[in-house]
Formats: sequence, C-alpha cells, structure tokens
Amino acid sequence: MGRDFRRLLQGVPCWNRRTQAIYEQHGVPLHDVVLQSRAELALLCELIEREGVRSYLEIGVWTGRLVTALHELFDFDRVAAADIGVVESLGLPLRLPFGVDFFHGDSHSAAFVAWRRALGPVDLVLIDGDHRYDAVRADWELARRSPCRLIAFHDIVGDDPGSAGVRRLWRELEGDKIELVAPNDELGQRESTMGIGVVRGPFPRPGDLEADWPG
Amino acid sequence: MPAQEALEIGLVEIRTRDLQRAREYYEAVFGWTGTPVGDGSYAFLDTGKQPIAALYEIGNRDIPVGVTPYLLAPEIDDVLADVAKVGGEVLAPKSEWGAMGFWANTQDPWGNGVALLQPRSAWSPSYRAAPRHPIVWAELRAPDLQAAVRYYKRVAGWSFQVKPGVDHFAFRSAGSHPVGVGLVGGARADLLGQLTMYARVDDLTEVGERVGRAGGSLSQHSKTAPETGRIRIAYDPDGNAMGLFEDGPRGA
Ligand SMILES: C[S@@+](CC[C@H](N)C(=O)[O-])C[C@H]1O[C@@H](n2cnc3c(N)ncnc32)[C@H](O)[C@@H]1O
Repeated sequence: MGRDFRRLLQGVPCWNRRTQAIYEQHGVPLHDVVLQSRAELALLCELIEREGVRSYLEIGVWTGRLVTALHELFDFDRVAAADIGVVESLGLPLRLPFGVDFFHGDSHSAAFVAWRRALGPVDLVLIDGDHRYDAVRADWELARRSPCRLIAFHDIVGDDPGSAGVRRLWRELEGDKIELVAPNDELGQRESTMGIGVVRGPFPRPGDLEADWPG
Repeated sequence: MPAQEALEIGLVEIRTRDLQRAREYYEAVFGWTGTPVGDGSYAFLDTGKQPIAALYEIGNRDIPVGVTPYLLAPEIDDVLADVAKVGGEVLAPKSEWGAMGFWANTQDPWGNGVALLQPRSAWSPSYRAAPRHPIVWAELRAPDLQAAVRYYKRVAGWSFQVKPGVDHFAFRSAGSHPVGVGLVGGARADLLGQLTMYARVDDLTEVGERVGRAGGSLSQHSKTAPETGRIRIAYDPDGNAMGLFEDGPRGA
C-alpha cells in the first residue's frame, strides 16, 4: 500500500477558508500557503509516487510552499522552479528548497527557453504560472517540446474567470489525459473549483521537432 | 525514496559553573523557573513550550561551558550510525539517563555539538509557564553549506530552504516545527563563534535591560534576523550565548 499523503500533508498549509476570503476580497490570494486544495494535492502526490517521478519542475511557485512540500516528501533527484516573483512585490516571502535550480523571471522570455533547454529531461512539469490563455498555451508549447514524461496544469475545472484560459486549453488538448479533481473539504465544497490535469508523454512527441522551439 | 521522519529539538542544555547564579539569571531575564533534580547539579527550566531548557553545573574546568540542543530520537543507535557514516563524531556513546531514558553526544564536522535524547516514553514535559520567551531558533556554523545540508538531512531528516539570491544561508523554517534551524555557510560561518539558540522576545529593549541587571551582557548591535525581526545576543554570567529574537518566527 502506498503512503498516506493526506496524513503526511497535515502540517502543510493549503488553500483554506482564510485564503478564500482574502481572494474574494482582494482578487489575489495574499496568503503564504500552497495554492492548492489539500485533497487534490494528495492525489498529485499519489500520482508522483505511482509514476516514480524523480525530477520536478514547477512553473509559477507563489511563495514556494508547494515545491518545498513536494521535495520534502519525495526528496527528488532534481528539483527546479521558475517564477517572475509576484509575491515579492506583494510583501510575501519566497522560499525554495535547498539545491533548487531556480529561474527568476518570465517563463515566456528567451532567457527562460535557454534555461529550460539547459535543464534537460524532467519527469514532471507543473504549469501554474500566468493563467491567461495565450500565456498558459505558451508554457505548454515550450513544455511539450522539452524532454519530460508528464505535464500537469493547475485549475482545469470550476468557473473562476481568472482560470478560464487554463480550462480552455485543457479542453483543447488531446492525448492521454488524467484529471485529479476532488472538492476542497477545508472550504466545505461539494465540487472542486481547481483541479489538476496531467498529460502523459513522453515529450517531445514524435514530430515535435526541436526546431519548433518557441522563443 | 521517502524522506525519513524528522527529529525535533526537545531540550536545550546550558552548562554552567554556578547553577544557582544561572537559575537566577534565566528566571530574571526570560521568566524560566528552575526545578533542580538529582544531586542539585542539574535543573530543568520551564520555557512554557518545547524545547524545555536545562542547566547543568560542571565543576570540571576541562569541560567548557556552552549550549547544546538535544534531538529527540526514537532510536539513538540509528542516529549514531548515521553520524559516523557522514563524517560526524560520537563524543559520548549511548548511555542511560535515569528516568529520562538514554542520551548520547555528537559533533558535526564543523564543530557544532548536538546531543541526542531517547526518552523512555513519549516526550511530554509538564510546562506550567506561559510560553512568553520560547526557544524558537538554532543557528549552526556550516562553512560547507552543501555538505551540512546533506549531513543534517541524513542525521536528523531535516530539509532546508533558501531565499533566491542568498547563497550563504539555508534554513528549516520554524513555522511547522518547534525550533527552526539556520545553517550559516561560506565566509559568514567564520563570523559565527558557536552554535547559538534563540529565544523569541516581545520587546528586545526591555529584555536587554534585564540581561544587564541580572549580570549578563549584550552584543553591541541588533541586526536583522534570519527570517524577520531584530536580534541581539545575550551572554549569561558564564558567557553562554542566547540569541534574542524580537518578533521572531512562531514555532509550531
Ligand atoms: C497560482 S500561483 C502558483 C501557485 C503554486 N504553484 C502553488 O501551488 O502554491 C502563480 C505564480 O505564477 C507566477 N507567474 C505569473 N506569470 C508568470 C510568468 N510569466 N513567468 C513566471 N512566473 C509567472 C506568479 O509570480 C505566481 O507566483
């Protein structure tokens, strides 16, 4: 039997009623927590364990709580992250796991493309940066042309206008798709308003030539 | 590979040449009341929350004074085996400690002394005091930061974080643990004399004044602390350091 991730994640602060209230008031979840529903995070952990993920890249880390919690749980062989640093301008702390390969900048820049190329193969990439359609599409286009096994997206369900772009892209994508969707019980939800979608590779798929790299 | 269960600091032992004088000092400055045990050379100090503190009077001048944190270990033998494998030193092997259980003493490759306590039963000292000045932070010298992160991962199961752009400092945040841990690397490690524990205080100025009145002394300047807030170092009458962390991290 696998590990009980619900128990192991107990000490990890996730999106809760307070985060929700702040989000509803300010339109930004100004809270130093993992911006995920704990139930869905546990499902993601189960997938990471099942798939034997040993290297992880997170695009869009907020205060770094998710990448830190995952690295603590899985002790990845390689951990990488990219973020433009919105939290720093909001006065929240940004902390990352020791040994992280960190790109501090825009995931749509030429510098990021070079950084991603240099990073090499990664088992799992989580795309959770800019949620607008063109932005998340650009993150996907680069991710799928880079060597990796699994590409995940956060916010594939619900009706939050802020993540409409992710939902649209998720509907458009084809392939072997896995949906990790569970209501956030810390909010007393009956239906999830987030959801994690995972597309199984390997990437790049045949035909996605390196020459097609954006940037 | 799943990460091992992390060991937490349960006790902080302060060695002194004069137990009565030290008791009066820690009570006056931090409000930690002492309960002597055994032959009177040992006393527990009620800090109000984990970790508890203790004073140990040592007449033998060959043994220096100093402050030693104890990690609570379910199996000391396992930890000692890891210490030996990753270049640490076992200063005192596992031995009985009366009703407490077992203890051992180790030193990491950079000279930080870290002891171990294997309690006989679940570790639950009865704290009576309000946790007004809890011990919340430990700062260790780690000139080779990478190696120190590996060492404490193996020995204590600790995972460390960094702030982007700060390459000489790794920390284990106090948020979800009783005591946070900072590893000070590179050239800055040389500026750090000894392993230093920090207590959180509400008002640095007020506590600082009490230090002087109680026979201790203070470092000259307050500086910015590893996470947030101002710090100063208080030296007790024996010369032992205890950091004062104003508005510091709120431990679990
Ligand atoms: C929803 S948060 C990430 C949440 C995090 N993955 C978690 O689960 O806790 C989005 C993050 O994306 C970052 N971001 C937004 N646009 C970006 C861009 N163009 N490049 C890199 N990061 C970006 C923001 O700074 C923010 O930290």
